[in-house]
Amino acid sequence: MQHLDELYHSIIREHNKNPLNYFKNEDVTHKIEAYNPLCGDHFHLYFDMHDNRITNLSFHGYGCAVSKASASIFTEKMNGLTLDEALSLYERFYACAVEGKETGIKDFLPFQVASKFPGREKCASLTWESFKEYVDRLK
Amino acid sequence: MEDPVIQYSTRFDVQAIRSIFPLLDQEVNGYPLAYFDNAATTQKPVSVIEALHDYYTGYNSNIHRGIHALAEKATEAYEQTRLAIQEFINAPEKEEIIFTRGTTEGINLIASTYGKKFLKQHDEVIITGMEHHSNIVPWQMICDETGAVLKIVPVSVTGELEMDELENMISDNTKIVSVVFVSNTLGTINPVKEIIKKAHDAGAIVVLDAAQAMQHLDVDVRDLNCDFLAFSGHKMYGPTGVGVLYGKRKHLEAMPPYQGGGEMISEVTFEKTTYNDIPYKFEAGTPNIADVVALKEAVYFISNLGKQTIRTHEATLLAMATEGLKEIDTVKIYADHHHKVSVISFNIENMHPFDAGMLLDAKGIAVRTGHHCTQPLMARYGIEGTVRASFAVYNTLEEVDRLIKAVSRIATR
Ligand SMILES: Cc1ncc(COP(=O)(O)O)c(C=O)c1O
Repeated sequence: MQHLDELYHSIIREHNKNPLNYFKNEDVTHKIEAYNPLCGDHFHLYFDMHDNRITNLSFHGYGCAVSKASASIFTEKMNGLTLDEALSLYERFYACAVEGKETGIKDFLPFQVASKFPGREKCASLTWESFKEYVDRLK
Repeated sequence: MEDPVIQYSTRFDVQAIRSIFPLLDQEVNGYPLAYFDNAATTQKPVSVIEALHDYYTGYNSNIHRGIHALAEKATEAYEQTRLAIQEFINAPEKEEIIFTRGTTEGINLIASTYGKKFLKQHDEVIITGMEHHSNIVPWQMICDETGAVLKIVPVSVTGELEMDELENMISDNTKIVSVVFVSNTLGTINPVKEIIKKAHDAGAIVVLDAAQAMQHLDVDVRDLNCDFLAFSGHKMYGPTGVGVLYGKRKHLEAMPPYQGGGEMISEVTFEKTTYNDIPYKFEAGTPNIADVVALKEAVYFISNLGKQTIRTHEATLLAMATEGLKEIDTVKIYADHHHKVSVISFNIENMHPFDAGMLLDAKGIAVRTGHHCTQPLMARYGIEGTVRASFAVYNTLEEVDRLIKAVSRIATR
């Protein structure tokens, strides 16, 4: 399994240990629950949205290294984007973490590896999918 | 320090056992496979695999009512397994042995026949906080339907049943007590004989989920005096897709059928159908003949080896694993007590069980991670899951040593 070290690539390990934007924030306009009952991964995403622009993104909760790192990167990459920009970034993440395609985004690389492991693409895409479902319902 | 493998060594010839489990001889991710997911399903000895092959290449045929030679041979092989199971659990009569798809189907059968007929509003069904989902959901469903109330015996911090609470809970309203004989997540062996006695004193019947008991413990339904006992073939070295439900004749006869169809009837007209006698009343349709036939070989494998021999070896593996894992500061073991089978559930501090399981897999070590279909038990401990290693008779001390070393490496990274 030569890919395992790639999966637990320093990016994932670092984000798991020291996740970015890792705090609860109930004073925001939007709060999303990301939950996978199968493995118990459970996060909340917090953000403000004014004039279709996403700001003040943070997250909090419980999950494996892959899902936590993915949520951390989500908050970092999505912050400040418009809804349309966010959705197009979601598409690129999906292509990478679920379909295993090249995207050229360095931070996404370990999730492309994750897509090759049975079951792990769910960990990688949990927060992203929950976000997508949520905004689809807003429209 | 003494070599832990030598320290724990026994005279048991585990290599001879391993040689009849062809699957074990393989590499996973560049390492020899160490298969520690036996509580989920065990591997199969060649005798079981060959029985399937022999059936399909030699005498595959539908059973009962056949007049030709193959049908007779298949029927005989099928019914021989019933006799083997009867002896295996010391059931008074062979008609009390019903073939199912597994434990899950056995429990569903009881809930939806016995439960449906005998439960009324305000009756109570008691289960415990360490049940597998398959001994929770069927009871929730039938309680919803009948208005009966489901009560849960709590689990102590050490992973044992709170027997005082159980005692308080049992009353004249209690109709059914359904408990797991051995916890699949913790390995805890529950005091089922005592529970059965108490339930019977209150006029309730007892269902035992014995999915994790048959492969380790002596199970004697006469001695236990349980009303029902359900188990799966695939967790006791047998094939998947077949299980057994034992029930006392008086209950089985009083119960309505489970499914309608062929085999379960004695006469059908459009005006009226009369049901077949037990056990056939509960075996509608063409059963899983091949797997039933092969299940007998699993019973013989266990019986020839002897449960005492199996337990002694597994206890050594468990003791070694427990001691070894306990020495790692960041490892927390659940249910660290002595009344258990060879199952060890643990967590590594600040590490999700998935991550631990994956890192062990990279070393060729197969464990199970997650909630093990016991979410209420996980909630009781305030966790989402554990890493579970469960040992079978073919596991070796060297494999356990590899587990300890690998966990130790992961835990300190
Ligand atoms: C304690 C217990 N009960 C019930 C079951 C369900 O068994 P099956 O899936 O074979 O029906 C299992 C298996 O996971 C178990 O461990």
